[in-house]
Amino acid sequence: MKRQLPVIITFIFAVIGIILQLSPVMQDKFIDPVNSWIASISSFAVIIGLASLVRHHTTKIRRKHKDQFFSFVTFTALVVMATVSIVGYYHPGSIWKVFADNLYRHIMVPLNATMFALLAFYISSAAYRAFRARTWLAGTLLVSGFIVMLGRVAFGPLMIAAEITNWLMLIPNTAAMRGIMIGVGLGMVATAIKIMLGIERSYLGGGE
Amino acid sequence: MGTLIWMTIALFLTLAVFSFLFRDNVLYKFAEHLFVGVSVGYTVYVSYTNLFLPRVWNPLRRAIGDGNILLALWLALGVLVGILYFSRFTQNWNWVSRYPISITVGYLTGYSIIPSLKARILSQFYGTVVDPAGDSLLNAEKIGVFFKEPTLHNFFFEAMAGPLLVFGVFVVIVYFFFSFKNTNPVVRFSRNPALVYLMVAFGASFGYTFMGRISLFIGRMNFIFHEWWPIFKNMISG
Repeated sequence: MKRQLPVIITFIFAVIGIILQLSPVMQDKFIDPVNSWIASISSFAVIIGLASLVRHHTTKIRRKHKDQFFSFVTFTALVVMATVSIVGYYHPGSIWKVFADNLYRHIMVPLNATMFALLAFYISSAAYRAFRARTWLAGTLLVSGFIVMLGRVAFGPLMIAAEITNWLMLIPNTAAMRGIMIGVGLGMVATAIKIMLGIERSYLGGGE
Repeated sequence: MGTLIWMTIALFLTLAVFSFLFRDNVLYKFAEHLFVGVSVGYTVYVSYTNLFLPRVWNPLRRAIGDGNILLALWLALGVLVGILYFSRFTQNWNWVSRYPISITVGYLTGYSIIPSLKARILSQFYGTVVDPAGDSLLNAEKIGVFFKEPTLHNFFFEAMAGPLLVFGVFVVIVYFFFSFKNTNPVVRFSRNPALVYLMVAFGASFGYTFMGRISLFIGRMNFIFHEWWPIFKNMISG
């Protein structure tokens, strides 16, 4: 009941998923209601994630943790962003919509872009340590990375680097990534079959 | 004035995040927590408008409006099963949440097997045999192009492109599948060429990612010096 039944349910729904992929007739008839049904279930997973985050931060605020101010910031930002955006969705011409757009354009986008831009500095310092050409293979990595960096901003006589970059991306990069992709694909299918047959059960969590 | 205020907030947040380059500090922590909050808030909004409304609420309303009781009950059952997720917050009944998890995982697993096979395996093999124009990648005519007009471009982009790609995919697959100790001559021979292909690819991916991050950094600097500063200058000069 606690463990066996979910495994059986997983198998039944996996078979339904396969049938819907294989049979065009079944797909035409049932794909929309089944996908809506699955979406209605999985939309609650978002609420669970949200509830966990809220619980974590409200606990910090309640216990007067030394970082409670930051928990308050997260909590307020979450509530304001979600509320204003949803109210703005229902009132497209209102001040709420303008406020929601500004929150997105002037708070979320700059923070997102700057967080990723910050990584450029940390990638550089990591590269300094990783790219020391101790072996000829590390040297290959270094040369390839350097050419691609140069090729992306090439001008004038350096345009040769752009040509080499194109070739590197088109041939060796595609070949290696394709090999990896095939391996990943085989791994995905094998894992899916293991889940379907109940061999892989870690998604059910621990306990009884 | 409103635009300047919003842009100044964006400037403050940009500088607050970059202040982490000096060391961890209160401004960075503020920006970081704000980012988590607005991102999750935005995810809630997107889930509500792109998932809940079109997939659950609207079909349910339509089914009730059309008198399609069976479909309405089916969707309502989905919502009830989804509510079982909340049992995670209880001590004794948290195992009940395994039911919605097993339904979602089971269905999506079964539904993804064939697309994974098609997109990640069969299409990749097909792309290794046939180029996007429909010609064979090991086409001798392309080698002939090089002999007609022997340039470096024709050598690397025409004559050798297909053979090197096919050879690369082959050695990388062999390298990954036989990563344990193996004395087979093909496996032993594949090792070094596969490592060269992988190192070149990882280096190229690194360079590509790095330049992407740098372009984001340039974007932020452009914002400060070419968007915020001219508006601010106009404002203070009246």
